[in-house]
Amino acid sequence: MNIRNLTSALTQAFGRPWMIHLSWFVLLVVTCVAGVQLGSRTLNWGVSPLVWQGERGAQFAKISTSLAELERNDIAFSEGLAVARLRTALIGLAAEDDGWRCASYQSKAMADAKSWFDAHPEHRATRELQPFIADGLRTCETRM
Amino acid sequence: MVWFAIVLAGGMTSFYLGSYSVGYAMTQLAWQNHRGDDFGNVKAAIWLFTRNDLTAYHQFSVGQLRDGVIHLAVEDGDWRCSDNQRRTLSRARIWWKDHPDPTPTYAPLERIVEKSWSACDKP
Repeated sequence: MNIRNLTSALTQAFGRPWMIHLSWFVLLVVTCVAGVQLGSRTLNWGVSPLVWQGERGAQFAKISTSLAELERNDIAFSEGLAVARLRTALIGLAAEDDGWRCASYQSKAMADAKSWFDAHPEHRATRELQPFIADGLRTCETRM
Repeated sequence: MVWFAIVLAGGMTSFYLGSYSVGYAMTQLAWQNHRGDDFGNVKAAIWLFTRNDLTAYHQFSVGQLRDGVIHLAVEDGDWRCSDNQRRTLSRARIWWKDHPDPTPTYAPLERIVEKSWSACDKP
């Protein structure tokens, strides 16, 4: 059945042209609602497994590094890991877009980190990474 | 014919809007969580450096280990572990059994933790 046949079948069924327009309008509303639902569900179905996979990987990494720390029982090793975590976090923050504000405890954490790096220049990253670390440390200066 | 075109265009636009709006909202939430983790790591690292004490490092590691293991317990769905993840979980289980937590706060969590040991059971 093509569209012309469908229209004439509807005309015969409803008798009045405005009923046909009303039917099409109802169909349009139903299609729009179904489209929004289908779009959001499709995205959820596609993206959620990826997000969970990333999250699982991060949890296993956390378990693995914590076990290594506990098994080694060596403060130098633990400190090395903590420095690596600090650098990774700062580089992550340096890569953030604008459009958000730092909470006061976050500004304080960044100020503490800056003081610590100033007092321990030996823990600054390699020359290539230093600009990213510096950007990370400035995260809250423009986002107050 | 005009109505058919309008319905088709409406359906396609709403599909696009539905996926775009959910994608936008999810991305914002994911980034917010990520930022929270980053700030948490900065704060924890500075606290550890200030304490400069192996016990503090161990407390932090045990906290991280618990957090990771409990997170796996609440995971849902059909997923498989890599060989490396299986080995990690098995090591964690041995460590956990050898180092029972003396504080009663964590006793109710043991049931949840038990679930995570089977997280990698699927072949």
